[in-house]
Amino acid sequence: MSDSNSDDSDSDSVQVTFPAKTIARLLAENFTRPETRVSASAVETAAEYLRIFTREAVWRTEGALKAAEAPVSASSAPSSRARIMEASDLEKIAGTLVLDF
Amino acid sequence: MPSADMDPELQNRLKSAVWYTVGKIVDEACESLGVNVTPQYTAALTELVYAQAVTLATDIESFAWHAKRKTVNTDDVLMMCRRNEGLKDVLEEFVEELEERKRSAKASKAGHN
Repeated sequence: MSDSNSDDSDSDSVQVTFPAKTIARLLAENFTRPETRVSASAVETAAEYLRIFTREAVWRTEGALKAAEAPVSASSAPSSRARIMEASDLEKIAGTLVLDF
Repeated sequence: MPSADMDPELQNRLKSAVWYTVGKIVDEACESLGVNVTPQYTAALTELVYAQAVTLATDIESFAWHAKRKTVNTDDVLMMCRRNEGLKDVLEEFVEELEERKRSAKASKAGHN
């Protein structure tokens, strides 16, 4: 219930998101019944859902990486500044991410 | 469940479109976090997002039909977040803003004509 307006709405420019056309097609191709339709608002909301999912994946990867690094860098010399996240880092958080969405 | 029956050519085109946007969202997030990703990271994330989109399609279709509708609406998408309170709040806010925008667009159109 916490008010988290600071999260999204204050970003200056327009948010990068999935084009409605792409999402509409992707959904339509994966519906199992030929009669199923989808409203324009539902397509936009689906795009937003996938945008949040994508961004959350990056944030969680970074969070997990930071958590894993912390005890090491406390005892040894700090490693290089620029952290590079790899596919294997994504794999570590993918399971819980999918469960949460 | 990857759609085995989908035209592979079309599937490739859709995946490329998803990859492009995933790349942009990743860049944006990396900038605010001060990190970098390998191209393999973005490729793996694209696969994950694509798979999630396929699941999304079948789920929202089921929710609509369960409600005895043949047209998927925003409620069906919100149903996806039923187990995640934070996500539900964010997405509900998005839907409200979307409806507000549509209402004011309609109102200004009516005012000018």
